[in-house]
Amino acid sequence: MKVIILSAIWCPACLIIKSTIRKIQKDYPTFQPQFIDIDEEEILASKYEPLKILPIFIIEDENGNVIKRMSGELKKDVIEKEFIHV
Amino acid sequence: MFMMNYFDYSATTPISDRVNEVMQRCERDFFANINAKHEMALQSKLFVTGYINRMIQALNISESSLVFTSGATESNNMILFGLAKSYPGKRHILTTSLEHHSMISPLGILQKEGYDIEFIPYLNGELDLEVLKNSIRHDTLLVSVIAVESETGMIHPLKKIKAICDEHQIPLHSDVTQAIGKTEIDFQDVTYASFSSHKIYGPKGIGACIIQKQDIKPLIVGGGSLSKLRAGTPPNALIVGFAQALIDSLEHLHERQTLVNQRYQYLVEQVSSLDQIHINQPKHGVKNICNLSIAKSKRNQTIEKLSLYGCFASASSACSGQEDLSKAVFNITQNQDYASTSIRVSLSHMTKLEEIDALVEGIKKVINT
Repeated sequence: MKVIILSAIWCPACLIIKSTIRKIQKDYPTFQPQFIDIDEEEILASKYEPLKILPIFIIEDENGNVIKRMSGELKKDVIEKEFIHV
Repeated sequence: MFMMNYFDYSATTPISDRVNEVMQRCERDFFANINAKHEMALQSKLFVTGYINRMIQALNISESSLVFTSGATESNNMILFGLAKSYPGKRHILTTSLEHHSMISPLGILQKEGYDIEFIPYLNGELDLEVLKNSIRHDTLLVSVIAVESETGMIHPLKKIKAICDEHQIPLHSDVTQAIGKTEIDFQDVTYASFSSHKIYGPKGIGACIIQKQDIKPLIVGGGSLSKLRAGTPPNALIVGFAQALIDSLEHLHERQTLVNQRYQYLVEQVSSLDQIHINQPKHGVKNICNLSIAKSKRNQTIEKLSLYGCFASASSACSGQEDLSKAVFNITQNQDYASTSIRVSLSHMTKLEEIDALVEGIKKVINT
Protein backbone atom coordinates (compact mmCIF):
# COMPACT_ATOMS: atom_id res chain seq x y z
CA MET A 1 0.00 0.00 0.00
CA LYS A 2 1.36 3.41 -0.82
CA VAL A 3 0.25 7.01 -0.46
CA ILE A 4 0.45 9.23 -3.53
CA ILE A 5 -0.07 12.99 -3.50
CA LEU A 6 -0.76 14.82 -6.76
CA SER A 7 0.39 18.41 -6.58
CA ALA A 8 1.65 21.40 -8.55
CA ILE A 9 4.16 24.11 -7.75
CA TRP A 10 1.67 26.90 -8.54
CA CYS A 11 -0.87 25.65 -6.02
CA PRO A 12 -0.60 27.31 -2.58
CA ALA A 13 -2.53 24.48 -0.93
CA CYS A 14 0.04 21.99 -2.28
CA LEU A 15 2.90 23.98 -0.77
CA ILE A 16 1.06 24.10 2.54
CA ILE A 17 0.46 20.33 2.42
CA LYS A 18 4.14 19.64 1.74
CA SER A 19 4.99 21.72 4.77
CA THR A 20 2.37 19.79 6.82
CA ILE A 21 3.79 16.45 5.63
CA ARG A 22 7.23 17.51 6.84
CA LYS A 23 5.79 18.20 10.27
CA ILE A 24 4.00 14.81 10.29
CA GLN A 25 7.24 13.07 9.33
CA LYS A 26 8.84 14.31 12.56
CA ASP A 27 6.39 12.00 14.42
CA TYR A 28 6.05 9.40 11.67
CA PRO A 29 9.39 9.22 9.85
CA THR A 30 8.31 6.14 7.88
CA PHE A 31 5.43 8.09 6.30
CA GLN A 32 6.92 8.81 2.88
CA PRO A 33 4.18 9.64 0.37
CA GLN A 34 5.10 9.79 -3.30
CA PHE A 35 4.57 13.28 -4.67
CA ILE A 36 3.61 13.49 -8.34
CA ASP A 37 3.82 16.90 -10.01
CA ILE A 38 0.88 17.07 -12.42
CA ASP A 39 2.80 19.33 -14.81
CA GLU A 40 6.24 17.70 -14.72
CA GLU A 41 4.92 14.14 -14.64
CA GLU A 42 1.84 14.69 -16.76
CA ILE A 43 1.55 11.14 -18.13
CA LEU A 44 2.00 9.48 -14.75
CA ALA A 45 -0.42 11.94 -13.12
CA SER A 46 -3.05 11.41 -15.82
CA LYS A 47 -3.46 7.80 -14.60
CA TYR A 48 -5.11 9.28 -11.49
CA GLU A 49 -7.33 11.69 -13.42
CA PRO A 50 -6.41 14.88 -11.56
CA LEU A 51 -9.25 17.39 -11.36
CA LYS A 52 -8.86 21.10 -10.65
CA ILE A 53 -8.81 20.66 -6.89
CA LEU A 54 -5.32 20.04 -5.64
CA PRO A 55 -3.63 18.39 -3.86
CA ILE A 56 -5.13 14.94 -4.34
CA PHE A 57 -4.35 12.21 -1.81
CA ILE A 58 -4.53 8.62 -2.99
CA ILE A 59 -3.96 5.26 -1.33
CA GLU A 60 -3.04 2.57 -3.82
CA ASP A 61 -2.84 -1.14 -2.98
CA GLU A 62 -0.11 -3.56 -4.10
CA ASN A 63 -1.95 -4.20 -7.37
CA GLY A 64 -2.23 -0.52 -8.23
CA ASN A 65 -5.89 -0.23 -7.31
CA VAL A 66 -6.97 3.10 -5.84
CA ILE A 67 -8.63 2.33 -2.51
CA LYS A 68 -8.94 5.83 -1.12
CA ARG A 69 -9.00 9.30 -2.65
CA MET A 70 -9.35 12.68 -0.96
CA SER A 71 -8.55 16.17 -2.14
CA GLY A 72 -7.90 19.65 -0.83
CA GLU A 73 -5.93 21.31 1.93
CA LEU A 74 -6.37 18.54 4.52
CA LYS A 75 -5.49 19.28 8.12
CA LYS A 76 -2.62 17.45 9.84
CA ASP A 77 -4.93 15.32 12.01
CA VAL A 78 -7.04 14.34 8.98
CA ILE A 79 -3.95 13.22 7.06
CA GLU A 80 -2.77 11.20 10.05
CA LYS A 81 -6.19 9.58 10.51
CA GLU A 82 -6.91 8.85 6.86
CA PHE A 83 -3.46 8.00 5.53
CA ILE A 84 -1.35 6.79 8.45
CA HIS A 85 -3.72 5.12 10.92
CA VAL A 86 -5.49 3.13 8.22
CA MET B 1 -24.76 47.83 -30.29
CA PHE B 2 -23.00 45.44 -27.93
CA MET B 3 -21.74 47.46 -24.98
CA MET B 4 -18.42 46.66 -23.41
CA ASN B 5 -18.16 47.54 -19.74
CA TYR B 6 -14.75 46.73 -18.32
CA PHE B 7 -14.42 45.78 -14.65
CA ASP B 8 -11.12 43.94 -14.74
CA TYR B 9 -8.65 46.77 -14.12
CA SER B 10 -6.84 44.69 -11.51
CA ALA B 11 -5.97 42.18 -14.25
CA THR B 12 -4.69 44.83 -16.62
CA THR B 13 -5.34 48.41 -17.71
CA PRO B 14 -5.32 50.18 -21.06
CA ILE B 15 -2.37 52.50 -21.59
CA SER B 16 -3.18 56.14 -21.06
CA ASP B 17 -3.10 58.68 -23.91
CA ARG B 18 -0.17 60.46 -22.29
CA VAL B 19 1.81 57.21 -22.00
CA ASN B 20 0.99 56.41 -25.61
CA GLU B 21 2.29 59.83 -26.72
CA VAL B 22 5.64 59.59 -24.92
CA MET B 23 6.16 56.03 -26.15
CA GLN B 24 5.48 57.01 -29.74
CA ARG B 25 7.83 59.97 -29.45
CA CYS B 26 10.49 57.72 -27.99
CA GLU B 27 10.11 55.08 -30.71
CA ARG B 28 10.31 57.80 -33.37
CA ASP B 29 13.10 60.02 -32.06
CA PHE B 30 14.95 58.24 -29.25
CA PHE B 31 15.07 54.56 -30.23
CA ALA B 32 18.87 54.22 -30.37
CA ASN B 33 20.61 51.71 -28.13
CA ILE B 34 21.45 53.77 -25.07
CA ASN B 35 24.56 51.69 -24.44
CA ALA B 36 26.10 52.82 -27.74
CA LYS B 37 28.54 55.76 -27.91
CA HIS B 38 27.33 57.83 -30.86
CA GLU B 39 25.39 61.09 -30.62
CA MET B 40 21.99 59.55 -31.33
CA ALA B 41 22.54 57.03 -28.53
CA LEU B 42 23.58 59.82 -26.18
CA GLN B 43 20.44 61.79 -27.03
CA SER B 44 18.33 58.69 -26.47
CA LYS B 45 20.06 58.03 -23.17
CA LEU B 46 19.41 61.58 -22.06
CA PHE B 47 15.73 61.24 -22.94
CA VAL B 48 15.29 57.85 -21.21
CA THR B 49 17.30 58.67 -18.09
CA GLY B 50 15.32 61.87 -17.69
CA TYR B 51 12.19 59.76 -17.27
CA ILE B 52 13.99 57.24 -15.02
CA ASN B 53 15.18 60.02 -12.73
CA ARG B 54 11.67 61.41 -12.42
CA MET B 55 10.41 57.92 -11.64
CA ILE B 56 13.07 57.46 -8.93
CA GLN B 57 12.09 60.81 -7.46
CA ALA B 58 8.39 59.89 -7.47
CA LEU B 59 9.13 56.57 -5.74
CA ASN B 60 11.43 58.32 -3.25
CA ILE B 61 14.15 55.69 -3.56
CA SER B 62 17.85 55.75 -4.32
CA GLU B 63 19.03 55.61 -7.93
CA SER B 64 20.80 52.27 -7.58
CA SER B 65 17.80 50.47 -6.15
CA LEU B 66 15.63 50.50 -9.29
CA VAL B 67 15.99 47.55 -11.69
CA PHE B 68 13.80 47.14 -14.78
CA THR B 69 12.47 43.69 -15.64
CA SER B 70 9.89 42.26 -18.02
CA GLY B 71 7.19 42.48 -15.35
CA ALA B 72 6.28 41.60 -11.79
CA THR B 73 6.60 37.87 -12.49
CA GLU B 74 10.24 38.26 -13.43
CA SER B 75 10.79 40.64 -10.51
CA ASN B 76 9.42 38.08 -8.05
CA ASN B 77 11.55 35.33 -9.60
CA MET B 78 14.61 37.56 -9.56
CA ILE B 79 14.29 38.40 -5.89
CA LEU B 80 13.54 34.87 -4.69
CA PHE B 81 16.06 32.95 -6.77
CA GLY B 82 18.66 35.74 -6.70
CA LEU B 83 18.53 35.91 -2.93
CA ALA B 84 18.58 32.10 -2.58
CA LYS B 85 21.76 32.08 -4.71
CA SER B 86 23.37 34.68 -2.45
CA TYR B 87 22.65 32.87 0.82
CA PRO B 88 22.70 29.10 0.16
CA GLY B 89 22.77 28.33 3.89
CA LYS B 90 19.48 30.11 4.57
CA ARG B 91 16.66 27.81 3.54
CA HIS B 92 13.58 29.02 5.40
CA ILE B 93 11.07 31.45 3.88
CA LEU B 94 8.00 32.94 5.55
CA THR B 95 5.15 34.01 3.34
CA THR B 96 1.35 34.05 3.00
CA SER B 97 -1.06 31.73 1.24
CA LEU B 98 -2.53 34.72 -0.63
CA GLU B 99 0.51 35.48 -2.78
CA HIS B 100 0.25 35.72 -6.55
CA HIS B 101 1.16 32.66 -8.64
CA SER B 102 4.37 34.40 -9.69
CA MET B 103 5.49 34.07 -6.06
CA ILE B 104 3.88 30.71 -5.28
CA SER B 105 5.48 28.93 -8.26
CA PRO B 106 9.09 29.94 -7.54
CA LEU B 107 8.43 29.13 -3.87
CA GLY B 108 7.19 25.72 -5.04
CA ILE B 109 10.46 25.17 -6.90
CA LEU B 110 12.49 26.17 -3.85
CA GLN B 111 10.38 23.83 -1.70
CA LYS B 112 11.20 20.99 -4.11
CA GLU B 113 14.86 21.85 -3.63
CA GLY B 114 14.45 21.36 0.10
CA TYR B 115 13.59 24.87 1.28
CA ASP B 116 11.20 25.11 4.20
CA ILE B 117 8.34 27.34 3.03
CA GLU B 118 6.20 28.38 5.96
CA PHE B 119 2.86 30.13 5.59
CA ILE B 120 1.95 32.73 8.20
CA PRO B 121 -1.65 32.05 9.30
CA TYR B 122 -4.49 34.58 9.41
CA LEU B 123 -6.41 35.34 12.58
CA ASN B 124 -9.86 36.91 12.17
CA GLY B 125 -8.99 37.78 8.61
CA GLU B 126 -5.70 39.48 9.43
CA LEU B 127 -2.15 38.18 9.23
CA ASP B 128 -1.12 36.81 12.62
CA LEU B 129 1.94 38.92 13.35
CA GLU B 130 2.61 37.11 16.65
CA VAL B 131 3.09 33.88 14.72
CA LEU B 132 5.32 35.71 12.25
CA LYS B 133 7.41 37.04 15.13
CA ASN B 134 7.80 33.58 16.65
CA SER B 135 8.47 31.82 13.36
CA ILE B 136 11.60 33.70 12.34
CA ARG B 137 14.65 31.41 12.60
CA HIS B 138 18.40 31.75 12.33
CA ASP B 139 18.18 30.31 8.79
CA THR B 140 15.27 32.48 7.59
CA LEU B 141 16.19 33.84 4.18
CA LEU B 142 13.25 36.15 3.64
CA VAL B 143 9.79 37.24 4.71
CA SER B 144 7.60 37.90 1.69
CA VAL B 145 4.14 39.41 2.03
CA ILE B 146 2.02 40.76 -0.81
CA ALA B 147 1.09 44.42 -0.16
CA VAL B 148 -2.48 44.23 -1.48
CA GLU B 149 -4.14 40.86 -2.00
CA SER B 150 -5.49 40.78 -5.55
CA GLU B 151 -8.93 39.25 -5.04
CA THR B 152 -10.42 41.18 -2.14
CA GLY B 153 -8.02 44.13 -2.08
CA MET B 154 -6.94 43.42 1.50
CA ILE B 155 -4.01 45.62 2.56
CA HIS B 156 -1.25 43.94 4.59
CA PRO B 157 0.43 46.08 7.28
CA LEU B 158 3.90 46.35 5.76
CA LYS B 159 5.16 48.88 8.31
CA LYS B 160 4.42 46.54 11.23
CA ILE B 161 5.84 43.54 9.35
CA LYS B 162 9.02 45.46 8.52
CA ALA B 163 9.46 46.39 12.19
CA ILE B 164 9.35 42.69 13.11
CA CYS B 165 11.77 41.82 10.31
CA ASP B 166 14.14 44.61 11.38
CA GLU B 167 14.20 43.30 14.96
CA HIS B 168 15.51 40.01 13.61
CA GLN B 169 17.54 41.52 10.76
CA ILE B 170 15.56 39.60 8.15
CA PRO B 171 14.81 41.20 4.78
CA LEU B 172 11.21 41.86 3.75
CA HIS B 173 10.00 41.51 0.18
CA SER B 174 6.62 42.67 -1.01
CA ASP B 175 4.85 42.23 -4.31
CA VAL B 176 3.29 45.69 -4.53
CA THR B 177 1.75 45.19 -7.98
CA GLN B 178 -1.84 45.67 -6.78
CA ALA B 179 -0.89 48.43 -4.35
CA ILE B 180 1.10 50.89 -6.40
CA GLY B 181 -1.01 53.74 -7.69
CA LYS B 182 -3.92 52.54 -5.53
CA THR B 183 -2.70 53.27 -2.01
CA GLU B 184 0.25 55.03 -0.39
CA ILE B 185 3.45 53.00 -0.27
CA ASP B 186 6.54 53.95 1.66
CA PHE B 187 9.38 51.98 0.12
CA GLN B 188 11.33 52.34 3.34
CA ASP B 189 8.91 49.69 4.62
CA VAL B 190 10.43 47.01 2.41
CA THR B 191 13.86 45.68 1.56
CA TYR B 192 12.74 44.50 -1.87
CA ALA B 193 9.61 45.20 -3.91
CA SER B 194 8.22 44.04 -7.24
CA PHE B 195 5.64 45.62 -9.51
CA SER B 196 4.56 45.93 -13.11
CA SER B 197 3.60 48.70 -15.47
CA HIS B 198 0.43 47.34 -17.06
CA LYS B 199 -1.64 47.64 -13.88
CA ILE B 200 -1.12 51.41 -13.80
CA TYR B 201 -2.02 52.39 -17.37
CA GLY B 202 1.48 51.69 -18.66
CA PRO B 203 2.65 49.27 -21.34
CA LYS B 204 2.78 45.48 -20.93
CA GLY B 205 6.16 43.77 -20.97
CA ILE B 206 7.93 45.89 -18.38
CA GLY B 207 8.09 45.93 -14.61
CA ALA B 208 10.60 46.68 -11.92
CA CYS B 209 12.25 45.57 -8.71
CA ILE B 210 13.22 47.88 -5.94
CA ILE B 211 16.30 46.46 -4.29
CA GLN B 212 17.36 48.45 -1.24
CA LYS B 213 20.04 45.95 -0.21
CA GLN B 214 22.47 45.12 -2.98
CA ASP B 215 22.88 41.44 -2.17
CA ILE B 216 20.96 39.73 -4.95
CA LYS B 217 22.74 37.69 -7.60
CA PRO B 218 21.59 38.20 -11.20
CA LEU B 219 19.56 35.55 -13.00
CA ILE B 220 19.87 37.06 -16.48
CA VAL B 221 23.41 37.82 -17.60
CA GLY B 222 24.75 39.06 -20.91
CA GLY B 223 25.44 42.46 -22.41
CA GLY B 224 25.42 45.72 -20.52
CA SER B 225 22.19 47.27 -19.43
CA LEU B 226 20.92 49.84 -16.99
CA SER B 227 21.67 47.51 -14.07
CA LYS B 228 24.24 44.80 -13.37
CA LEU B 229 21.36 42.72 -12.05
CA ARG B 230 19.57 42.34 -15.36
CA ALA B 231 21.29 42.18 -18.73
CA GLY B 232 19.71 43.06 -22.07
CA THR B 233 19.28 46.09 -24.31
CA PRO B 234 17.09 48.58 -22.46
CA PRO B 235 13.63 48.88 -24.09
CA ASN B 236 13.55 52.68 -24.36
CA ALA B 237 9.87 53.16 -25.18
CA LEU B 238 8.69 50.68 -22.54
CA ILE B 239 10.82 52.41 -19.92
CA VAL B 240 9.57 55.92 -20.65
CA GLY B 241 5.98 54.65 -20.92
CA PHE B 242 6.29 52.86 -17.59
CA ALA B 243 7.92 55.89 -15.98
CA GLN B 244 5.21 58.24 -17.25
CA ALA B 245 2.45 55.87 -16.07
CA LEU B 246 4.05 55.57 -12.65
CA ILE B 247 4.62 59.31 -12.26
CA ASP B 248 0.99 59.96 -13.26
CA SER B 249 -0.33 57.29 -10.89
CA LEU B 250 1.60 58.73 -7.93
CA GLU B 251 1.05 62.42 -8.73
CA HIS B 252 -2.69 61.84 -9.18
CA LEU B 253 -3.05 59.20 -6.47
CA HIS B 254 -5.43 61.13 -4.21
CA GLU B 255 -7.50 62.47 -7.08
CA ARG B 256 -7.86 58.96 -8.55
CA GLN B 257 -8.57 57.45 -5.11
CA THR B 258 -11.40 59.94 -4.62
CA LEU B 259 -12.95 59.02 -7.96
CA VAL B 260 -12.53 55.29 -7.30
CA ASN B 261 -14.04 55.62 -3.80
CA GLN B 262 -17.07 57.37 -5.28
CA ARG B 263 -17.52 54.58 -7.81
CA TYR B 264 -17.07 51.93 -5.15
CA GLN B 265 -19.71 53.57 -2.93
CA TYR B 266 -22.06 53.93 -5.90
CA LEU B 267 -21.71 50.23 -6.74
CA VAL B 268 -22.13 49.15 -3.12
CA GLU B 269 -25.25 51.32 -2.75
CA GLN B 270 -26.77 49.81 -5.91
CA VAL B 271 -26.15 46.17 -4.96
CA SER B 272 -26.72 46.42 -1.21
CA SER B 273 -30.48 46.45 -1.73
CA LEU B 274 -30.28 43.04 -3.42
CA ASP B 275 -30.81 40.26 -0.87
CA GLN B 276 -28.71 37.80 -2.84
CA ILE B 277 -25.56 39.95 -2.73
CA HIS B 278 -22.88 39.97 -0.07
CA ILE B 279 -19.94 42.36 -0.22
CA ASN B 280 -16.74 40.63 0.88
CA GLN B 281 -14.98 43.62 2.35
CA PRO B 282 -11.69 43.29 4.22
CA LYS B 283 -11.14 45.41 7.34
CA HIS B 284 -8.43 47.32 5.51
CA GLY B 285 -8.73 47.29 1.77
CA VAL B 286 -8.28 49.28 -1.41
CA LYS B 287 -11.47 50.52 -2.98
CA ASN B 288 -10.62 49.78 -6.59
CA ILE B 289 -11.54 46.17 -5.83
CA CYS B 290 -15.09 45.25 -4.89
CA ASN B 291 -15.46 41.55 -4.19
CA LEU B 292 -19.02 40.38 -4.06
CA SER B 293 -20.84 37.07 -3.76
CA ILE B 294 -24.06 36.26 -5.55
CA ALA B 295 -26.02 33.62 -3.68
CA LYS B 296 -26.31 30.25 -5.40
CA SER B 297 -24.43 31.42 -8.50
CA LYS B 298 -21.07 29.74 -9.05
CA ARG B 299 -18.38 32.23 -9.85
CA ASN B 300 -17.38 31.02 -13.31
CA GLN B 301 -21.00 30.86 -14.41
CA THR B 302 -21.54 34.39 -13.09
CA ILE B 303 -18.55 35.67 -15.06
CA GLU B 304 -19.74 33.97 -18.24
CA LYS B 305 -23.27 35.34 -17.87
CA LEU B 306 -22.06 38.85 -17.10
CA SER B 307 -19.84 38.67 -20.14
CA LEU B 308 -22.88 37.90 -22.29
CA TYR B 309 -24.46 41.05 -20.88
CA GLY B 310 -21.37 43.05 -21.85
CA CYS B 311 -19.81 43.30 -18.36
CA PHE B 312 -16.31 41.94 -17.91
CA ALA B 313 -15.28 41.09 -14.35
CA SER B 314 -13.21 38.19 -13.07
CA ALA B 315 -13.29 35.15 -10.83
CA SER B 316 -10.44 33.88 -8.72
CA SER B 317 -8.05 31.34 -10.08
CA ALA B 318 -8.65 27.68 -9.37
CA CYS B 319 -6.86 25.55 -6.80
CA SER B 320 -7.57 27.08 -3.47
CA GLY B 321 -7.48 23.65 -1.87
CA GLN B 322 -11.25 23.30 -1.81
CA GLU B 323 -13.69 22.97 -4.63
CA ASP B 324 -14.30 26.28 -6.32
CA LEU B 325 -13.65 28.16 -3.14
CA SER B 326 -11.79 31.45 -2.90
CA LYS B 327 -9.13 31.24 -0.22
CA ALA B 328 -8.98 35.04 -0.02
CA VAL B 329 -12.72 35.43 0.45
CA PHE B 330 -12.94 32.55 2.92
CA ASN B 331 -10.12 34.15 4.87
CA ILE B 332 -12.10 37.33 5.52
CA THR B 333 -15.63 35.87 5.74
CA GLN B 334 -15.09 32.32 7.09
CA ASN B 335 -18.14 31.50 4.97
CA GLN B 336 -17.98 28.73 2.36
CA ASP B 337 -21.02 29.97 0.46
CA TYR B 338 -19.59 33.45 0.05
CA ALA B 339 -16.21 31.97 -0.87
CA SER B 340 -17.66 29.75 -3.59
CA THR B 341 -19.81 32.42 -5.25
CA SER B 342 -17.53 35.45 -5.21
CA ILE B 343 -16.43 37.57 -8.12
CA ARG B 344 -13.99 40.46 -8.35
CA VAL B 345 -15.17 43.73 -9.79
CA SER B 346 -12.19 46.00 -10.25
CA LEU B 347 -12.77 49.67 -10.78
CA SER B 348 -10.81 52.56 -12.17
CA HIS B 349 -10.94 56.34 -11.92
CA MET B 350 -12.09 56.04 -15.56
CA THR B 351 -15.10 53.83 -14.75
CA LYS B 352 -18.33 55.59 -15.68
CA LEU B 353 -21.41 55.48 -13.47
CA GLU B 354 -23.42 54.25 -16.50
CA GLU B 355 -21.06 51.28 -16.68
CA ILE B 356 -21.82 50.48 -13.05
CA ASP B 357 -25.53 50.76 -13.83
CA ALA B 358 -25.03 48.22 -16.64
CA LEU B 359 -23.17 45.92 -14.24
CA VAL B 360 -25.94 46.13 -11.66
CA GLU B 361 -28.51 45.29 -14.34
CA GLY B 362 -26.32 42.35 -15.37
CA ILE B 363 -26.10 41.14 -11.78
CA LYS B 364 -29.89 41.35 -11.47
CA LYS B 365 -30.22 39.20 -14.60
CA VAL B 366 -27.75 36.67 -13.17
CA ILE B 367 -29.83 36.49 -9.99
CA ASN B 368 -33.04 35.99 -11.95
CA THR B 369 -31.80 33.29 -14.33
